[in-house]
Amino acid sequence: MLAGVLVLLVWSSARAELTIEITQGLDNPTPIAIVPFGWGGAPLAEDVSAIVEADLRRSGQFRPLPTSDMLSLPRSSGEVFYRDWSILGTEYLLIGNMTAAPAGALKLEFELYDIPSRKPVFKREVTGNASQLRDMAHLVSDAVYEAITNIRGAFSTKIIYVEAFGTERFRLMLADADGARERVLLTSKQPIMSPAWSPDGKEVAYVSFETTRPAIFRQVIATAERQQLTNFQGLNGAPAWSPDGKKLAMVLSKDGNPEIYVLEIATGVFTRITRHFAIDTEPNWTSDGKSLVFTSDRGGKPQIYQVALASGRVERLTFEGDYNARARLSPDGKTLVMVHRHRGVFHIATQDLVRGDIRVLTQTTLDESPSIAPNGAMLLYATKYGDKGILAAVSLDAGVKFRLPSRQGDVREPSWSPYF
Amino acid sequence: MTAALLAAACVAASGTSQAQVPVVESNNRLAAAPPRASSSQSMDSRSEMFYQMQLLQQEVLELRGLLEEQSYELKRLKQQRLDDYVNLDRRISALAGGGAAAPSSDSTADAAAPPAASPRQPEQSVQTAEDIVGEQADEVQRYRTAIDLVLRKKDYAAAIVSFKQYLSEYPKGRYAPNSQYWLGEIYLLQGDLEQARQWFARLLSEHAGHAKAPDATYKLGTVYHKLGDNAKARQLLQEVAQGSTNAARLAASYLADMNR
Repeated sequence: MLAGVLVLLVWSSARAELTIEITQGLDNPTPIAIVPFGWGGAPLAEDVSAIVEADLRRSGQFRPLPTSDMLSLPRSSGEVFYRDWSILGTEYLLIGNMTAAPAGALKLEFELYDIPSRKPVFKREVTGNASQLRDMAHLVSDAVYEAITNIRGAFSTKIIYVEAFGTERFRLMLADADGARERVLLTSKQPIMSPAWSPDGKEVAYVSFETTRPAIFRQVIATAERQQLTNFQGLNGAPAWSPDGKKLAMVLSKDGNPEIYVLEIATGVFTRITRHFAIDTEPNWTSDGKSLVFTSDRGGKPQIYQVALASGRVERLTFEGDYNARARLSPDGKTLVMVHRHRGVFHIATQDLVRGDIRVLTQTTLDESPSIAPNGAMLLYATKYGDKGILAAVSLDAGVKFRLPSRQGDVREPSWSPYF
Repeated sequence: MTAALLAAACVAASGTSQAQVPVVESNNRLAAAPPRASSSQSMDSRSEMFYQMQLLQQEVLELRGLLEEQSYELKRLKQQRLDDYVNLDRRISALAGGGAAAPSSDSTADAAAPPAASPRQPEQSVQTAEDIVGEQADEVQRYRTAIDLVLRKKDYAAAIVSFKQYLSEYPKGRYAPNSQYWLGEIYLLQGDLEQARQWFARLLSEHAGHAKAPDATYKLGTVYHKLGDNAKARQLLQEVAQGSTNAARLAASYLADMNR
């Protein structure tokens, strides 16, 4: 059913540190024509329609028509002739035109057409300044993606990940979901681990070894203002924000062995959640904030468990395989994503929580740290490619796969932002 | 050293006072440094206890794992059993419902209609899978609609219209014999014996070799019996009873009833 399609995309932008390779797309992506957007002024820093094209191609659900095949390059509704596009077999047509707006801003008007039924789908506009061209492009991609697939687009979201240069230098990085516009949030000579977005997308919590032992910090992304939250003996790890953003679940070994704790941020009160001589780690919240899923070897092997915070009742969720760890729940709460050992190799797998069946999504090895996009369509994970740690993405139905290899250090522990 | 070992062997052999061996040994050391020796001894037993506890913990972990897996398996099996039961129940009630819907006046015939009709089902689905194109798909659809009216909706008047329509459009159609059979069945149910006789007879004259023919012969026999023509009825029923079909068994038992 699926055909391996190898498409290589290289970003024209010099700032982008990540290049994207699509390793597998759907075998019947929707054909769409994205006409280069009109612009009469001086050359712009970014090619907005090319970014939209790359976004939609990367989703794996669209096949953009090459510009050279287009019979006309309309910029307004008056110039659109359906016949020109139905001949080419394209199903959707996106046109746009940019004009200068007051105070140096740019106004982009864009229109989507349904070619087979010969009618416009929508006409919208977005305004921004010259430094927001990529944001404007991702906004267009989101609008087109949602109009055609009925799933909210996640092109305007961001990712955070850790970049390691050997064992001497570590950087906490922020980038657009397509890997562009990388920004350093923190540089350290000691390891940085487990970055986690706050649900409002304004803060990040992470583990830093800068005080010579692991400690959990929170950092406001916009201002770089930081606060150290824990400084206990032993492990301080795997922070996870509650859906309301008021609490952090984490692992502490201050009482002997690793246990799950919940910290109420405003009061600084820690509540111990698990009590077991086995290792309990990697907590993550259910979307209602009433339970945590976590990894525990209380059954002799690492498996995923769920604990209800009110009653403390623990229930095991995974039963297939001898290693299941680092669970994340999909936004609808129906699917568990985790690291699953299959024939001795670590893969990313999903488990349907209603029916219980497991599905291995990836063919790469040493996969770790899955993080789901806020629309639940794709997930990012860390893997090895060549000798390097890279990020890769796969759709939750395993139909689309792509890699974001770094040109510099080893990239690991991605975390996909919520909607802003 | 060897002496101690020998002594140990001797004591072990005596079997009753094993505890004495370490005591004798530690007595020598006790003389040299009493406090340290006693603490090292309690350290020994403490680390031994710690080791034992670790073993027990490991054992508990493994047992817990087994228990979790088995209770999951149990839950799964329970669910599966329930699903299987629901599935079976649905099929049985569908069968029973189909039998009741199959228009026939005597209870023995109830069983005859579904088995005779159901072997047709796989053939239909194979057919549609192969070439669900154009007219053929249309033909299948029409026949299905008519069957649906009989079996599910039990709207016999509408079913009569549908089957007749099918026959007028596809007089040589794949389901023409089945349609004729069902028309006979419906009229029989409604007590219109003359119409029923005509449809069964038509099936037999037009499609003598069809899989439905024995069923039709049996039904025609019962129709003649009801019409009072016992001779004709016997002839037909005996003819069917020769064979090895479902209808043959039904015919035999009907004949037995008639003769009683």
